[in-house]
Amino acid sequence: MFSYFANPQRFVRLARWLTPIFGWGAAITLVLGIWQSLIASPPEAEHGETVRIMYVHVPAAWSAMAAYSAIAVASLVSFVWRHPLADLAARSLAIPGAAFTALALITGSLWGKPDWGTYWQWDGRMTSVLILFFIYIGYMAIWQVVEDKKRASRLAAITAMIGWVNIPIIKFSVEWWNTLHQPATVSMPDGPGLAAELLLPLMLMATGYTLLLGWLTLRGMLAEIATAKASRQTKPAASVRVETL
Amino acid sequence: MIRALLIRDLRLAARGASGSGLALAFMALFVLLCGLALGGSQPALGPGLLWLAATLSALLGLDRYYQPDQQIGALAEMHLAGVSGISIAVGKCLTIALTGLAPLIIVSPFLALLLGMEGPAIIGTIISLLIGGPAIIAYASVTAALLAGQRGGGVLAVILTAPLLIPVLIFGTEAAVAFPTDGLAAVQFRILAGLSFIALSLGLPATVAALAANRGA
Repeated sequence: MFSYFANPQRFVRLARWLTPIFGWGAAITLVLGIWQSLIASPPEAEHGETVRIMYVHVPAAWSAMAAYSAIAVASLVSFVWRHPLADLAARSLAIPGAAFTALALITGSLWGKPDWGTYWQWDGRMTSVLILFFIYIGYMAIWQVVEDKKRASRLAAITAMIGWVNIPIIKFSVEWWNTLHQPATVSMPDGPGLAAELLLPLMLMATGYTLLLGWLTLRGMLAEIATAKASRQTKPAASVRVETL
Repeated sequence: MIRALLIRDLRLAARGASGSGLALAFMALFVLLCGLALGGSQPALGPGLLWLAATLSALLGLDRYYQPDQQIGALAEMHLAGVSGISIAVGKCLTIALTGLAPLIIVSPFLALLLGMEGPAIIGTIISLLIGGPAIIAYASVTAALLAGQRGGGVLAVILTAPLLIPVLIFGTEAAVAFPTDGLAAVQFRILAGLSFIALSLGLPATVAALAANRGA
């Protein structure tokens, strides 16, 4: 399967078919999830109505970390096998990933004010997610600054793989530094520590975010392939115009 | 081979190519400006300010690591002569440690006096800089190798290196602050040493890979 998709046209055929599934799937689950999380689900005992921020905040943080891990895996594939699609995938994941990171940070600080009485605290989880945001920016900047695309893809892959050390730090930060941010509640050894009526909207939103991430990535990859194709075709067109003149 | 590279780099540095004087001047000026902006001596902020000054002046000299060698073709020559990438990376990191970081650490006690710091705090800061120094150098080396073929990547160098250096900065400062009460037994020193090991084990191979990518391999 790996070498099958080395031909971008085969990937384009699959992606054309997958993109609407992801897009409509994301739209439907997000509408259902927003209805569940904002209207249908009950307020939580401890947090009250502010628990509704969780349904936006937690999936955003999950998606941000998933997107970065996907970038790191795609970078590894690009670095080792020089797979043409891996670069496109990594590049297309960067902007949605950075956006999800920013969303997680903003909603987190908005949730922090009513719950902890502060918008920001330099605890392990918050600091490491902020670092993730800057790593995303650095990764995107490499693509911007290095003109030669082949060299840029090698250098960006190295950058992405080094930056991945931050992901385990984010994951375990709530256990290593027992400060303000609460530890994991959903992925606990003895089942999720969350009532079913709160878990349903969270899972709907998480599915919606993941589908949205997939849709944005596929769209980005298709756009990159189309751009590459268009830039290859402009040259003969220009020479024809010169001849007719 | 590493020794030959080290001698070459040290000879170049002795003839004024390393810019370590510039980094020293920057660090001194930074501490001076901090003292003035914060309204006189700030012994409590001292370890943090010294760590910040050392980190920033290390980042300032990034474009002198591999860029000159890349531009004049020395890196390509070394590759053709069969010098392994890891020898180049280790040699360069040792050079940076000797010509870049060591002078900064040597002047830091005097700058600490400017900030009104006491003896144990000064010793703690120096020890924490010595333990955290390899991490600073390793990450700076990666970024310098990534941008070796790039002119004027100064701001990008800071953006790429700073996120990786944040944990080192956090635990370096905490270790320096913990030293007067806990001594070397403070857990932050162990974390700092661990961060340095992680940085070296990631940074040296990544430097080699980045240099190879910039060579066009």
